[in-house]
Amino acid sequence: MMRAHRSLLARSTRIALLAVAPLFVAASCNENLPSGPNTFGATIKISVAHDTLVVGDSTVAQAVATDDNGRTIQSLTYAWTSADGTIVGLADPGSNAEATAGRTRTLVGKKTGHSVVTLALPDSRFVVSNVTRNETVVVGGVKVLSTHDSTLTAVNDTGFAIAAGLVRSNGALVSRVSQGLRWIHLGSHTTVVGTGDTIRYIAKSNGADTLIATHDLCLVSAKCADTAVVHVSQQLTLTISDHSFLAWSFSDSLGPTATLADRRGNGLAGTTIRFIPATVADSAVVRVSAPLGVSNPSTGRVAAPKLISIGNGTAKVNVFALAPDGISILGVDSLTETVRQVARRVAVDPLRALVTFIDSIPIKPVARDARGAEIADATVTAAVTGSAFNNGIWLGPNPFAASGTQATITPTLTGIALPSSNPLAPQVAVVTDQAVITLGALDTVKAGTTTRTVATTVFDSNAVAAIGSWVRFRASAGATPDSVQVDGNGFATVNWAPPNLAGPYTLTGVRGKQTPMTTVADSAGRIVIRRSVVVIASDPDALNSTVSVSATTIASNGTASVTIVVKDRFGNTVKTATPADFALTTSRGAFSALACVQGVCTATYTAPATAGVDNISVKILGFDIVFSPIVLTIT
Amino acid sequence: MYLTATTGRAVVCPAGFHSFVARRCLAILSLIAAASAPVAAQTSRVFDSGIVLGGDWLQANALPLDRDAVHSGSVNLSLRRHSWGVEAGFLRIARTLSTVQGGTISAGPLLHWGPVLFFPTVGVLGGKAEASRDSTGYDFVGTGGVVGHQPRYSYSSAGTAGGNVALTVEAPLFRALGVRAVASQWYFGGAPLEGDRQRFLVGAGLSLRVGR
Repeated sequence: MMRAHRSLLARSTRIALLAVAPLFVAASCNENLPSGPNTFGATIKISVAHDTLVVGDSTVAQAVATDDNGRTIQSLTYAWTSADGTIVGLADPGSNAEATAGRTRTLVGKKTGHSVVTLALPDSRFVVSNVTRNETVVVGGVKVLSTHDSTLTAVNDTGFAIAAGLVRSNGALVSRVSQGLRWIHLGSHTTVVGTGDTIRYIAKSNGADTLIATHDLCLVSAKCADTAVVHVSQQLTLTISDHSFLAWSFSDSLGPTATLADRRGNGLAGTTIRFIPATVADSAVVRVSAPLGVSNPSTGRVAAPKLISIGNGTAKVNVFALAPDGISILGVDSLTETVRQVARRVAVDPLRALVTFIDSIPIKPVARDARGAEIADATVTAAVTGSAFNNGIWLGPNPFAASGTQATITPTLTGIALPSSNPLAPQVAVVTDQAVITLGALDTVKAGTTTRTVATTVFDSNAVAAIGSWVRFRASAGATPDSVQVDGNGFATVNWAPPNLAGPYTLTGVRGKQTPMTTVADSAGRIVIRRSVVVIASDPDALNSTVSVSATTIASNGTASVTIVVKDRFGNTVKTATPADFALTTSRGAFSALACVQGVCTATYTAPATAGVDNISVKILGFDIVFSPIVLTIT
Repeated sequence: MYLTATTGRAVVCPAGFHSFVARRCLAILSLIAAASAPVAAQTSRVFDSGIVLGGDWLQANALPLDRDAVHSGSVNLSLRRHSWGVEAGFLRIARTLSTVQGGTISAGPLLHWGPVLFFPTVGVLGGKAEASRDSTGYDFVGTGGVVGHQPRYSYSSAGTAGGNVALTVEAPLFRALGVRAVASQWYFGGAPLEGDRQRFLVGAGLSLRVGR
């Protein structure tokens, strides 16, 4: 019974185990529980309205992820980075869940430039590459804050140009510095120093330059350049070193130094200074030279003319500063110059001369200033010894003087030209130059040998040899010698050949001057030679001497006058002729004694007692003179 | 709809119930069983003593099972001594995204109501839990604004232990073979089941008394 029961139990157990076994087998099978995927394919992108931001402006960028099926994945968390956070900043997400998760991010333009904004999806579930977006931050415009039009009135004057970029602030565009502005400088009249918002421009030359403030990164359609014009217009001031001058001599060159400069002492190239006497009377006192010296624009010094004194008096001279165009007047001033000649020497011209004692020359008492200019209004008196004055300015003639003597003329100065009469003038003693005039004898020369050598010392106004100066000649007749120069010894020597025609001749030599001497006053004091000679006939000459008879038919024992005119070879009547100078003969008649008067000799011919022919012969040195022999018929 | 009691009154539990509702149904069934105990004790039954081998299909309340795997079920061997019983067996609970399986031991009183045996038990399980969890998937918006979800499963497995209350109702079918219905509520430990530790099982099976 028990055994049967056990058998039944064992069988039931086996059955049960067989039934349960599949369950255990099943339990060991693969559960096929889903797993993964490890990763998803996805694409992310940045969605933003604009890639360009104005500084201070912001834009919301959105991160979008799509899976491989093009579906937009929700609720992801993204990471944003900006390559240069100083250019494009990422705003603090604050408490905004979308922003906190990076699904949106506000991009803030901080300063101009480019920055790469990167979007990453740091989610291990997704295999995705980072995406980037180039964001550009620009200014909303450029504005010059300083004046748009400035003028510098002096070279090296400095001005400032200030500009700023326009950025967004509370929705409005406002200026803000340090936005990386760039300046464009057009022109060369200024130099520009510095960069950035503020630059300094320095005036260099007159003209206008343009400064353009701009920005390389500026909003399209905005005003991305603003202009400032800088004018450089030197305000030049004329300054002359002195306004009053005193000249004590003619030809003195006086004048102020002139400066035409701006406030900073800079001149302007091309400017000139003109001196113009105010009136005609002023022009009689001074004349204006050409500009002297060199202009120096760096100092404003301008070459200025000089006033050359030409007359005593006071002259007012206007000073004009002219612009480089030669027309525009930049400055006006005036000055006065008082000219008062003061004598340094007093003399009687000529200081040296050769005068035939029978001649006279005009002398000229003269005072000269330091430059040798005559002082017209000087009071000079002269005293002469060895000769005499005639008719005021004439020295000689002095028939009482013997040849070879000298006349001495001593001048005396009084009056306004004395230094003592001009206390401001240099009180230099006046040198008194005595004139020494050589009184020469009257020469008598025979025709044919008239050439004379005439020499005299020539002094200038300083009583020294006027070496090199010219002496011009004029002869009263005949050929005039050419001009001669005073040699190194101070002599003017000339060979003068008076004509062979008998008579007196005078050679006059004057120290030359530039202006013609047409009056006595012109030549007063300048005649250094006045040499006279008398040309007399030469020896009797048969070819020119003549003989004549009052009648050629003469009764026996009758008489006739025989006239012999004795002449030299030049046709001059030999006034000194004597019967010895010729031979008067007759073949049958007879002559009375010859009588010669002024070269005409006469004798009375007495015919022979018998009729016939007779001959009269006159010979000089064995040669018949003209008309000799004369045949006479005796009846 | 599930008909889970045979006390002459039907207790209707809605399909698709969740764990809270399941627990309420199970409690009601247990009370009915307890109330009928004196009546059952007066009647001798085939399955109230001896060794009974049982097997249940327990997938009834978790269909469909969206994966290719063995359905939930259990086999057990119980030793019954008229007024009480103990049983040991193997339990498998398969869900779409998890599996818990392991050995079980449970005990409880035997209650009779006519030929029907009520066997409320409490038990424990020791075994393995496996789960795939869609914790890292993502939501998406597709074409036309259609919202969807793309799952991403993470698989984990670990040992697990759990406890349950259950009610088995058996009725003789033919000689030593009976039919039975089971409802149980499990609670498991173990990391894979974090956040999803309860399982409610409803199923049916056969009982075979294999020894006295």
